[in-house]
Amino acid sequence: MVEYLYERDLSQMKYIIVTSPLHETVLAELAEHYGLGRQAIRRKMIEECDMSFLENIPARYEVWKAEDSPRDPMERQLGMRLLTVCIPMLSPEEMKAVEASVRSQISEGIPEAEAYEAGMEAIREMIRR
Amino acid sequence: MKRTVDVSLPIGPVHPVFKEPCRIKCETRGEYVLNAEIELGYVKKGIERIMRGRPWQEVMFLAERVCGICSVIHNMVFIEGVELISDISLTDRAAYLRVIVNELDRIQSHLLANYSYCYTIEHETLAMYLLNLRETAMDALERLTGARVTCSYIIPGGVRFDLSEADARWLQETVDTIDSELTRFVTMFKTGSLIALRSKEVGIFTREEAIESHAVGPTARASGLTHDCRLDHPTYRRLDFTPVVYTEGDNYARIMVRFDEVFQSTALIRECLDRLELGKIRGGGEVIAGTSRWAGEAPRGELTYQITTDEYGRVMNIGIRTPSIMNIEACAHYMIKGVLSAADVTSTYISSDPCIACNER
Repeated sequence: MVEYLYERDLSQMKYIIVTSPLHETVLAELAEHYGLGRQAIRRKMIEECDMSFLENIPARYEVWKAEDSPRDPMERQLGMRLLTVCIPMLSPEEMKAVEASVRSQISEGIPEAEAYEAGMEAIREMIRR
Repeated sequence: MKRTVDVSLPIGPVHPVFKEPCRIKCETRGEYVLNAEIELGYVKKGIERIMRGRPWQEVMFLAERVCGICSVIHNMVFIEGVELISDISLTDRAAYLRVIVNELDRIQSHLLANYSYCYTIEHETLAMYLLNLRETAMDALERLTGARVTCSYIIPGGVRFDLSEADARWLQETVDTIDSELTRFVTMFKTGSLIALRSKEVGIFTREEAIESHAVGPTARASGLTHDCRLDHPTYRRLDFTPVVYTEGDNYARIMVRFDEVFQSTALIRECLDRLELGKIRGGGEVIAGTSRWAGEAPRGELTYQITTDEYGRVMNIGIRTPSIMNIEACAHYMIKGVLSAADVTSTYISSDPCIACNER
């Protein structure tokens, strides 16, 4: 049986990474889009990503922006791929639940803008949690 | 505290094959690596903060201290970013001299990377041959710029020193030596059966993964991506340049891309020497206020500087994105994950030519 080694707390070093000038640019855009404070997004990133991943966030964000998927209105609004693959702050299951709820609201005749706003609120809750 | 990996095999921060400190944390089942992550933070410099508020004349020297292996390209990209803001033009002779020095830097960096790889897979003879050949490139850098590492050769509007006729002839002979010696070493690498066992189909990195993680440089070109910033550079566009691309995406391909790029660099140096005409090596100009984003092809891939200056030429804000940031992440989450033997973790890591100094800028 393998004995697992438990690790020291890397939060402080991770915080230094996510406050670099290039990270600030990404955080500003994410904070504006999702209507969240930068510190809440930073905290979620620090919790979910390892150090090398955190360093690579600005490049991964650019990859997402350059992809075709942001042209899809739901991806552009909710950033499903952005938040699960490019910058994995949420699990695919969590995001699928949000997507399913938004789709069911749209199919029930609720205006798209309202359904997207409900989806965004759910995402905000998950990030703040 | 959150754990993303249940660490059963920690490697580093101090390890005989690592040039710089970092910790690879692997989750294993027997020898099979299920998951890996890389812990950084042992040599964090905070150089972007140190640069802020300083005049460009000071930041220029700080920029090349981001990395001790590829200092020329840091100098070049920072200065080209400043030239872009201030609309400072460059003489033809200076443009070709910049390419010559940059390619010499690429040669020494690639030879060092491949030396490290051969040393890691326990082929010390070939490793030492490559390290010895690297000295030839370092000597050339020293003769042209006056220094082996932090050369400060590139300045706004030109370069610091001219190349004499005698130096040009000597450089021609030097690149001929590099070519002939390296041909022999590459044959050794290609025909070594034990090298193939340790390198082929190990640390596979697919094209899709390279796109997703924004991998750059030889690491990405070994997985079939053609991206090379030299294709967008005004001086390189005048030269006969096509990126070296392999599609296998394994350790072997990554090393072979670097070997082929050394040959390509010597060809570029020869072409620049042929095109070099007598003329000024420095223009004029004044650094003004503005913002620019400029990228250049470092030995490890795309290096980006985002610079904001004020009317006195002070750098008010600067963001540096080094290629190792993308490549180290790609290495931890795609290449190392799934290797069949714990022994392949270090060789796969070294095959991506990680530079911790760049990452911990």
